[in-house]
Amino acid sequence: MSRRTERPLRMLIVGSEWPAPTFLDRLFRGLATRGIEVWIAGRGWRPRRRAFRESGLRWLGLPRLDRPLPWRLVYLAHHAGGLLVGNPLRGYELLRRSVGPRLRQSLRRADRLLPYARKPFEVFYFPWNGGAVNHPGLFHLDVATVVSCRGSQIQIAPHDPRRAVLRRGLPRTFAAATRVHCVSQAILDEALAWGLDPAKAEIIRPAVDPQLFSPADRPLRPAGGPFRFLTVGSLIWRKAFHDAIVAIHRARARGLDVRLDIVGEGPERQHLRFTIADLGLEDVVRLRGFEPPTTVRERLRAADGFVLPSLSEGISNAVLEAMATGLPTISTDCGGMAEAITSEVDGLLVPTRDPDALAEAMARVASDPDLATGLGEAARRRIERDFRLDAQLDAFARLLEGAVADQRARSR
Amino acid sequence: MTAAPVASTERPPVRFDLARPEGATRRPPASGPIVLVVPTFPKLSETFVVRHAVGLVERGWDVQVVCRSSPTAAWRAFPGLDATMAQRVHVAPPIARAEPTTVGRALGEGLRRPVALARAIGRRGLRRGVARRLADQPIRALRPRLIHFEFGTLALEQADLAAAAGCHVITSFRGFDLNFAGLETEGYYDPLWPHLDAAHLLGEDLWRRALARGCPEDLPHALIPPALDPDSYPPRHSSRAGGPLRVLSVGRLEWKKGTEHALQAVAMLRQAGVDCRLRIVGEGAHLPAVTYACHDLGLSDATELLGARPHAEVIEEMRAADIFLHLAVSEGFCNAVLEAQAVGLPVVCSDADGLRENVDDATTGFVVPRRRPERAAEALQRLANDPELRGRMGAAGRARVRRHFTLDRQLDAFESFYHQVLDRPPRAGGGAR
Repeated sequence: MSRRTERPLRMLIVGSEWPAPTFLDRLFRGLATRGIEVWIAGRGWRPRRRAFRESGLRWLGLPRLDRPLPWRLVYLAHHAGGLLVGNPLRGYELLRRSVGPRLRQSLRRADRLLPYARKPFEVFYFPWNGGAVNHPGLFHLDVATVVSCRGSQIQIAPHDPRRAVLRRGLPRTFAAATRVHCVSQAILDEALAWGLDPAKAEIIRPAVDPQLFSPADRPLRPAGGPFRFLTVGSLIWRKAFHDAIVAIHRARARGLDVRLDIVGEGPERQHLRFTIADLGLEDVVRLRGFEPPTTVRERLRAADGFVLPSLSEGISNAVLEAMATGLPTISTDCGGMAEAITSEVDGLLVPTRDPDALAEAMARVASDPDLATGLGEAARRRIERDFRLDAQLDAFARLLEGAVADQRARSR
Repeated sequence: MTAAPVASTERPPVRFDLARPEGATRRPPASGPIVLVVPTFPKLSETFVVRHAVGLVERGWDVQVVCRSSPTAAWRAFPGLDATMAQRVHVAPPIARAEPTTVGRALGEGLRRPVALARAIGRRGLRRGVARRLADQPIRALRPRLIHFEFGTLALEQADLAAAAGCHVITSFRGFDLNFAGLETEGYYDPLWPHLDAAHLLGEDLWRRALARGCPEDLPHALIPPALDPDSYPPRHSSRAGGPLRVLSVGRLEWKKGTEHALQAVAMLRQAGVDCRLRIVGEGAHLPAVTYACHDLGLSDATELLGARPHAEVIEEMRAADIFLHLAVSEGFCNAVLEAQAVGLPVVCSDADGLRENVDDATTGFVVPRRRPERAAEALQRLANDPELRGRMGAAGRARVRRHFTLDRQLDAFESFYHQVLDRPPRAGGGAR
């Protein structure tokens, strides 16, 4: 393609929190190394961290929504002025689009349109459906748009009666987007129900850097000691960590010394804390709280097995990381997990909401060293084959370039 | 005190025997009020506090209520309440910052009770010591005979007051106090135990949980379960023939209430070929999890989420249902289950906390292990296939509520409890009022 030699593709990421979760951070930085100019739209000032400066990412500061009204007006006026001076016709058109009869609504619309429109971006990337739904104005700027479908915002939120805005917005954003990225076939299938045109959709599964996660060079389990399972994720209901705690209880009732570390923080903490106390597992199940990625890597290397009791997942990054570390991994068969784990080959899949099945799988892994080692080694091979970070980044860069080409063809 | 008990060499029993008939015969003490301490009064979801206070007043006790807020709107929900209680409710808002009036009050307090104030400041630092002392002032000003904290967490916050009140101090411990509050802090209630004369718990299970939370084994205590007025619960409409089985769940949508387990049980029941519908009353933060479970378990057409409903409508829902299902993971005692029995609805519930004492297993319903929806499904199936059993269990539930859980019985028990506590010398001798 000749465009690359002209100048790098300029992409703006809309609707991502900063700091972004590890897997998005990895994607953004990776794309920056692929010769794409990655801008991140965030509220407030550019992060001061040296890591951010050195990552090659750029920052588009947006007015913070918690500022007083006059401040926000000044900020918006500054953007509107810039737009009008730069290209009076387009600026007028954009202003007209954002101003309505109600002040608050107009402010919100202007907030979510004007600051994004000043730089000549070639593609807007929405890493979450919610972000796309919140920025309807950006789909009509003659800029390519790419939306990611990742999991709960397709699988869970639309069923929540209080999320009518998202439910209504999904079909609209799918219709308006140039391309739609799905993290798994399962998510794609579910998104069809919300109006996704399969011709626009592309599956790029999440990935890990196999160099970063390496198996521990020790036998899986010190002879005679306890078998230590690990699980990682936000403490939210859809991760159903309480099922894993109950499963530990039931596996121990069979006389197996299995233990569990839970790394992560969130609103379900009280629930988990109570479950642990109620089942008398204070010395067996530990809530480790939030830990940075480097510590999580250490924990993975020190664990004997990994378990994910989720009710819904796109494809769990935590599971991919555990597999890359060569851990025997047990996951519920939800969302796209069956696309990452072939049960009995490179991991075990069990039904959701079924602590008995989870306990059974835990007991098998903990009591059969050959099975555990075999699953772990196969998992590592699977990651090296199908879930490599560089392959994912290449596919993503192609997706973005394809979207830009589509948009050009469309506007011609 | 006119009739101080003769000091005996034998230690008094740890658990009060509330069946002693003195509640009915003895007069309430003449000097000094009973002060009930609650966060908010009146409050719709804490109707039991209102009934407790009013019931005691009607029986001649001098009851005063100290709370942090008393919203006008809430009073409207209790018609006729101001006649008995308006003069007896004292609002002591928490002190957040040093406003001029606060500073003035603090200076006044310093002049009147310099030692006590200095002690509070020494223990908690200037700001918090003064704030605590001022917040406790309305209670001390009432010169109570007995202070009854309606919640353990509340008593813990005012442990200083309990220590220095110079009167009897008792606390109710409810499900939240023992199951959740301060779970991550070792010895959370330790500052409170030495200052309590007695504790009130809803049942045996909560007493065990209190012991596990560090409650001294010799703390005198009384077990008094919740109660209701059976006459305001008309019996259930007699079962219609045909139509799907109507299962009802009532409770806030929180993980504690185990709504997802109820959905799983109903899904299993349907898989076993029983045509049934689940209606769920209540709303809460767990709503997305519940709606997702409906979708995930293929129950979207078989369940109805009714949201929060006024009490009268909830009773009507109960009267129109066939089975009450409540698979909580954690539950103090559960008034809804009690009400279902009062209406004559057979109950399938988990064995969480007080539910075991609430429902008589195999008589007024089935009590199954918690976190075991498959066991609940079995129980549901037995009831589904046997309308006669449903009728029998419903009738037994009505009889049980009338025998054990009436307001009158509860008030008798509280009166007896208070009398027996007051017969003993107060623990907290510290005279600094």
